[in-house]
Amino acid sequence: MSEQNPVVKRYLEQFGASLSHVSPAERMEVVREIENHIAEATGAGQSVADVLERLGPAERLAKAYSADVLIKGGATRENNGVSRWFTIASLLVTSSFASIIIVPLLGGLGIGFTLGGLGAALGGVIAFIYPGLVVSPIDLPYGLPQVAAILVGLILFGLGLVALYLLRFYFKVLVKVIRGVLAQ
Amino acid sequence: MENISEWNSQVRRGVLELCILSLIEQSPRYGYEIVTELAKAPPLAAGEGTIYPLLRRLKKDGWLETFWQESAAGPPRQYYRLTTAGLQGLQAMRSEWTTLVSSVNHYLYGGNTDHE
Repeated sequence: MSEQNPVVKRYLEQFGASLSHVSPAERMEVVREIENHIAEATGAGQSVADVLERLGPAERLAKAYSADVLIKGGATRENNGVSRWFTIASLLVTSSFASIIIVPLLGGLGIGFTLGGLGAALGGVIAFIYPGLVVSPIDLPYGLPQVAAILVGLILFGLGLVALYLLRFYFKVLVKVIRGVLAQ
Repeated sequence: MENISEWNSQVRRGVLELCILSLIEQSPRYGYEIVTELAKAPPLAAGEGTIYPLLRRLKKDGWLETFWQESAAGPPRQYYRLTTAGLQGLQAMRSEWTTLVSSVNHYLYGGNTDHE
């Protein structure tokens, strides 16, 4: 179009530049179609301003051609970005509250029990080697305190591992949920 | 009335494909023609910003194909016509629609046959 209205030209340039979701081969066709639409509409007597207003902002029109927008039916609401951020913010707040409880609990248990359990088991083993280390106010059969220490130690250690696995699982779920929200 | 306007636009989006494909079935159409036709029916009035991308997607899905035709009144026009897949899809959608409408009407009017 040799004598194209500069407003239209600028609109089409912006439109074409924003068509990142369309393959370069198709891009020309898509722009041309909109160009022709503007030409037909103005040819039918509408003002350029009216036509462009009904097309909407060039970038938004271009975004409407992206695959995920088309599949979801077109997010034409202006506040779509705002509602998305509200979702993310509320997610972070609730997960923060949960984390304040869950992380110290599982983390503390996890680390405390594994270390404590190891220590107890180790102590039991050492006490086997040096029975003199065992101090007890009542008479206990030989080896009982040591075995008890080792058993308790191992159990604590196991519980600690479970707590740590649960913590890791919690983090995995959290990351997955946040990713899911961000992907929208 | 925020809730119903969202529902409303969802319903319109749902039926828009059906209407566009039916229009094209009658005869091949170009984009601007479809836009003005649909604008005649206010309940369906979907903006250009919806119709053009939708046409492109239908072409991508293989339901529509395009061809250019010289126009006396200006630049060449890109026409849309149904492919075989598109025709089959349209027929399927059409029968779905008929069933859906009668089901909805049944619930809407509680089996009152006057309205069906």
